[in-house]
Amino acid sequence: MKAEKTILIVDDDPDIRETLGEFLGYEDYAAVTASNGREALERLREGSKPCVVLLDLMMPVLDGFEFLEIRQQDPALAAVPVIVISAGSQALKSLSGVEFFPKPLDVERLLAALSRYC
Amino acid sequence: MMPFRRTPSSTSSGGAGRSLNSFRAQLTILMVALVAAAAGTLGWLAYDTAHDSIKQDALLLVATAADARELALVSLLERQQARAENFLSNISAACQPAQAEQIDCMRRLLSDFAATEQLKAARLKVAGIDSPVSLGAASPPTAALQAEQLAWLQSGPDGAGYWVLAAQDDLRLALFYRLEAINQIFRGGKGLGRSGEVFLADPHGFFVTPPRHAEPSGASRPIEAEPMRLCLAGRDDEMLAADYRGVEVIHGFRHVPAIGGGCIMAHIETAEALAPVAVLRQESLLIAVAFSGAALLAAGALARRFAQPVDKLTQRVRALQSGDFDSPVPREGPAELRLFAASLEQMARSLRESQMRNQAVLQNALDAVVGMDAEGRVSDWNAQAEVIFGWKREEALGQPMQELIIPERYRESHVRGLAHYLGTGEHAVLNRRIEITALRRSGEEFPVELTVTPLREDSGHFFYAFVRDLSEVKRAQAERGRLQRLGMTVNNNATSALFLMDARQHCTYMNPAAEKMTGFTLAEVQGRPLHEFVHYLHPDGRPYPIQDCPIDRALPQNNQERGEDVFIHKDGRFYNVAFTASPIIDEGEPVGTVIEVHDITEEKRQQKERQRAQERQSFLMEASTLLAESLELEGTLGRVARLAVPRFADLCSVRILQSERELPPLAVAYADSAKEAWVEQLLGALTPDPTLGFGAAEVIRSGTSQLIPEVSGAMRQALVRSYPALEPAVKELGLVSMMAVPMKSGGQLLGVISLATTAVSGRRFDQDDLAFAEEFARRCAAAVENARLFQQVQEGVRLRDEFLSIASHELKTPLTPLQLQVQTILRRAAQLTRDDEARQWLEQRLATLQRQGERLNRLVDELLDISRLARGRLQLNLETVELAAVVNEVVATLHSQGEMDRHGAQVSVSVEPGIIGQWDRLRLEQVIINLLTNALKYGEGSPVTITGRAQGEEATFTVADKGMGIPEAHQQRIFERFERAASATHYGGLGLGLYIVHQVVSALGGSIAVQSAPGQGAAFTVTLPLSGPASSSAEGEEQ
Repeated sequence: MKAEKTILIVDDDPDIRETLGEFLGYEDYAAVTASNGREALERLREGSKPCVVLLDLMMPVLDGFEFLEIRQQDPALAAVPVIVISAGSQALKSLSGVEFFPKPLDVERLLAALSRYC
Repeated sequence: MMPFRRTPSSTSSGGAGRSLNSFRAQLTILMVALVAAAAGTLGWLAYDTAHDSIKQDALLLVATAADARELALVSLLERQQARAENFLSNISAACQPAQAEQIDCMRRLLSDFAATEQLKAARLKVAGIDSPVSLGAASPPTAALQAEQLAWLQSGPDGAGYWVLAAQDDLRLALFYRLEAINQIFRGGKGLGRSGEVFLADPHGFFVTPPRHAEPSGASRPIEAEPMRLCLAGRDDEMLAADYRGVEVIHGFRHVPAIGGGCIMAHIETAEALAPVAVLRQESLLIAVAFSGAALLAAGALARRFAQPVDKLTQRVRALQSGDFDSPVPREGPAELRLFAASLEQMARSLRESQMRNQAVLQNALDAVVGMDAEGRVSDWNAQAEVIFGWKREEALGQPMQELIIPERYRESHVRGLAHYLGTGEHAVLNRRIEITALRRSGEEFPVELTVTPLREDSGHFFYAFVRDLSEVKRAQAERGRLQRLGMTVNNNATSALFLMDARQHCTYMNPAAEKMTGFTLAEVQGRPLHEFVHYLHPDGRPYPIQDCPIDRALPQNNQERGEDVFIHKDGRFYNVAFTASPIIDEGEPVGTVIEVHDITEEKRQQKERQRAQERQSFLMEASTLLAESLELEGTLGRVARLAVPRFADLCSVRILQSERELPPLAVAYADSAKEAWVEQLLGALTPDPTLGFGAAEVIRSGTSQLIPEVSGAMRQALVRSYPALEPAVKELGLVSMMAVPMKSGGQLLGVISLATTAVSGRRFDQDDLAFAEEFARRCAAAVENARLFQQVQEGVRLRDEFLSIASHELKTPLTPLQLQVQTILRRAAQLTRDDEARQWLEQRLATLQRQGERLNRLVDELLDISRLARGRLQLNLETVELAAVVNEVVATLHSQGEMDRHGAQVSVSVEPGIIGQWDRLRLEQVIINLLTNALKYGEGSPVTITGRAQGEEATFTVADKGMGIPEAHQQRIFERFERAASATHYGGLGLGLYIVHQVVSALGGSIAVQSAPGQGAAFTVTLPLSGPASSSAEGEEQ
């Protein structure tokens, strides 16, 4: 296992978190998960250093948009790359500069993208 | 043709009479001298002789006088002779050639002549033709004589060239004397005195000329006295005898053998004969003798010196009397006479002038002049009388006037009146103008005007009537009366008001229509300036000076004036009129103005009404257009409110009710833009007070329209009580009139439109305005309802989209772990089993799972796309995309998902590399995927080709199959929603693929076309501009 290839998966759906984590695990990525934006922030502030954050948008407590806003204002977090994964396609406009993968995920392209960050 | 014509001229016969008279006058002078001389002589003789001898002498004198007296007869016979000679010469001239015809000719001429001369018989013996002619029937007393005359005529005295005429005229009986003999008898005759006369009896003892003192009845009886019989028998005699009066008369009888035994008799009253003798004295005998001689001489001299000139002068004076002014006055005789003649000529001249003047006046007088003598006979008749009465002058003269010109029923009173006047001098009609009925020759009666003037002349009473024919005048009067009545009828029945003004603009006439229009009667206005009654004020109260008035200008400027103006009724109200003022110019003199006026108040009102209706119609149209233009309610109502102001009201506010709660006015418009914001603010702060009882609050409470034509003081107070904040506005704006109408839809109150007028226009709303406002409100209500429905629809769509969005999110969310699990297993399969067979089996099942997952994912995407496309909110993320890369990727993906294998189709790609455009990568992928999956699906295993190339600024790519193809009829339809060429039963899917392709291609600024035929496959060609969509409008908002 290569510890440096950590990916933070932020999704409120536990099945997604689990299967995506498992899938990435088989692809030699270490997965850290968070069920909402606040948890994701906590993980990051706890010291997790993911090479990319896979971020769902629609989440309770703190959704993906709010997480992105906070990250944008925190220079320490802003450097962490984010790939948005969402079943919806709304508000893509406000996500300029952020790579987007619609759910269900095209795993080939996702892996290709991840490989650029990690 | 009559060879003889009697000359009937009274002048010539009168002339003959006068010459005879003058001859007589001369004769008389001579006779007087002779008688004086003779009487003197006789007197002297008688003085010495006995009474009997004196008588004898007197008898001798009578005999002598009788001879002389008959000289008169000669002249008469001479005239007859002259006529006869003239007749004879005419006969020989007219009846020359053949002897046989000559007799007939002469008979005819003689017959004509006899008729003209009133002859009873004539005998003619010319050139051996002896032809006695009997003419006419003899009257009974003369029948015997007639026969004798005829016998005499037939036997006749012998000798050629003699003629005899028998006449019954002034000679009464026959004159059948041989002229020679008659001349012998009477030549050198003497005269008789006052009572003396000479007369003639024919051989049968009939008087040829009756004696003056003969018995009245014995005129034609033979004279049976003894001396007469003796005389006829041939013995001359003289005698003294009393005549039938018992007066002693000296008679002389002379037999006349030359005329076949007639007798000439002469007599004189003895007293007269002896009178000069009686007065003479012996002493004076010598003087008498001398005087007689002197008298004889003087008489001769006088006759020469005076009698002739005087006689000529007398003739001249008579000629003057009869109208002959032209003959010269003889200047003869002594100086006095010549002087007299000169003054007579002078007098004649002036008399002639005055006569001519009078005659001219009378003849040419416009009036008929009819003269009448005392006997009622016409004595004068001028030319106009001929014209009026139809009788010629010569026909009328001497006729009884009454029979000519007085209708029969008036004749008696005319005769009575004339007699009365002549008897008493009293009259009723003289010297004044009277109108009576006169008679024409034709029997027609007609009105005349006449004046009768009596004249007293020497010759008696005369009357002159000056008559004027009034029939034309009466007819003209009747016609004028008729026209006047007609004119009055026209005026009285005219619907136009008619006025007449004189030159000083004073009213002289108004017809009933004018009286009705102005409220004044003619009597009130007549003779006073019309302007001061109907036109003295402008409607705004300014005085209207007469010099500004176009009506009063018409005459002085001699110009017809037309126009519209405002008049004032007697009751003070103003009314609109159209007038025409025409000057009346009479013979170049301005005399007045005729003014025709129509009350056009109603017309004006209607015109205004029409204009208003039109304005409202156009307002409603504009409002409807505005309302239909947009479903966005607030702005629209604001524009509509602004439309109503100021055209329709000074203030308009529109309030919308939402679930029983009134919202602040959506729109407020006020005519005074400076105050609009203030008014809006005030109104916006109001909460309707349902206790106010009128206005918008009342409409909300009752749902019925409110019209307050005039806002009363009490209402203002109530307003301020309910809405204290409004107080300054109520005071400042000067609220005049108010309306509030409900906006209702399906019985539900949607809102209220309030309209008001203020001091800005000061207008008052009426029922018409209310009806209009209600119509306006209906349209607004429809628009509000539409907007509300639209909002609901939009809300529905929004909810649907939200639902779809959530649904797709929720659908995709479980797909994600599913997909991931499949991927994980797929990737792990090789590690999980070394059994190739098992691994293959597993991989196949997983691939199916993955494919179905993909498909489910696409269906969900399509659903989302549809809702976005329906709202035109397709969002594009334009980026630089290389066409071949996208195509290859799609083909690779589909291939990896086993799509090609599943359909058993070969896909060959031939896209030029390097075609780069500004496109939305995902959408472009979607287009290619949809086209490719369609081609695979409907290609029925036929090879599918994808070709692509750049063409100028565009990229073109075609996806073609060789399958079932698309009938032409379906080729347009297939790009629509939920459409497909093939039946739904055989081919699954939502039928959205080509629709989405079409929408995406359009959003990218491109186009898509299909080329296909049944059984020959289909080729879909997409053309896209390299630069992306022309505008960035495609970047619509997502939500």
